[in-house]
Amino acid sequence: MQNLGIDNILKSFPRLLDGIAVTLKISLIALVLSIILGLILGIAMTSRSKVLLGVLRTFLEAFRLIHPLIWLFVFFFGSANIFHIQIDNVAVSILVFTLWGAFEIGDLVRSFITSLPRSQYESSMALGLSKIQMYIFVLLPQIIARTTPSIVNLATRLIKTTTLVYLIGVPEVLKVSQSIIQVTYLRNPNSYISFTMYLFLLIVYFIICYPLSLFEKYLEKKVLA
Amino acid sequence: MLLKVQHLKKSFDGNTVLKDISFDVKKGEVIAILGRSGCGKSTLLRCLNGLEKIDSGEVWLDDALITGPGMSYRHWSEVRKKIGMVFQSYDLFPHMNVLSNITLGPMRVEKRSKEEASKEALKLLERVGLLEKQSAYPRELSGGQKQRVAICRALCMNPEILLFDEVTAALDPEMVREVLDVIRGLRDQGLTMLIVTHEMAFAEKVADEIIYMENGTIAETNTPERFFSAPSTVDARKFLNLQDDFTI
Repeated sequence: MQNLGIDNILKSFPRLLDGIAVTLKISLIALVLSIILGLILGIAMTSRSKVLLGVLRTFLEAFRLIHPLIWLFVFFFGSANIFHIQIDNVAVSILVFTLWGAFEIGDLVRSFITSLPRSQYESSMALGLSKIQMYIFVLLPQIIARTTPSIVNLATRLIKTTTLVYLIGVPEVLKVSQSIIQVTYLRNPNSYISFTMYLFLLIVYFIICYPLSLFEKYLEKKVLA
Repeated sequence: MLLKVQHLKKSFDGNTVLKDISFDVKKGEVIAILGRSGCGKSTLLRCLNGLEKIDSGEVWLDDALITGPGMSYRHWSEVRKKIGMVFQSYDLFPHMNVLSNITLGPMRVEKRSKEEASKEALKLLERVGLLEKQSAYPRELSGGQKQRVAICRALCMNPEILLFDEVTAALDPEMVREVLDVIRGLRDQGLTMLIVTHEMAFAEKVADEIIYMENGTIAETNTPERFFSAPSTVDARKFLNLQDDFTI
């Protein structure tokens, strides 16, 4: 039992919880910000301005095609090298994942708005609704209902992908786990701590993501009904 | 005159759709606008509530000019309180139940209280025989029921004039009747209506006046009796299948 290192995990449990908290904090803040920003971007992507569309489209593709890890490096090391400022690594993580999520959600919102029949707008207009009222009472509730399953899906991907932030030194749960593994090995080279720790991590991610996945399936059924 | 249309012109990308349209609508009058597909009758309706911008001409409502350059979206919102419209595709808001669909305009545009708007909405629903559907969602209704709700939605704004754009064209035959019955009821109450339709028998019964359009112009304005028995233009005779004295 000693070799499995369960006692080490129990002993360092507060630190692991801190790591989980960092993971969840980055994911949650990024998710909330990207929903707000995504709605705005999505509406902006239905604009008639070719320049605006071109710029947004470029960013969308950039965030889709370029791996978030590279964006993390670009923002973290780039800001230090080019502008000689050191941005807090948690802030960089939140920024990168917010932009990543915002463009994903923006594209969902855009495709939903453009798929709505023109008569939905016209019947709102014919009732005398102002443009803002049309967005608040007619379009937004439908956009939210229709995109929620995809947003929940994005949340699970976000939580998994935030693991990458350990590469710019953010003490999220994987980073914490690895340092515990290293310390344990130093004291006891025969320990099986890495097996136990990664099993533990697997369970942690499963406990966080599986309910979200079930929630997504439930929502999808509800929306399609 | 409730509504006066003078020399209205409209084109899309250099393609003239409406050429010099003029007509008047008296209060309480029901006018059916007939004509072949593409003759411009739907576009004409859409010009009257600002869904299409007109190129030139004037539209007057209650002796106030409602068209012209520089008319803003806000201006049209005001006009649309008085000119209601019901569409072929009925487009109820899918995320709202029947009652909320009807009370949205009165509550948000006219700032009436929820109780008052609901009370009137329920009265309208009762009149079209859909009181028991007040909490249903649009997806649970048949096409004819949706269209009747859409009519209630327009009526709850207490418009001075109501525009009907081929409201039965997307419906199964047995549902056409239930919608037409509602419109006939509105005529009996004295509501002013402009009705674009392909239902000839209905137009004959319900309208005070027939406007027959051809290629973006008004080819004939006549009483229903005269129009359906002896239209004055050759084109209208063809349209009504009168030239060979045969009926299908």
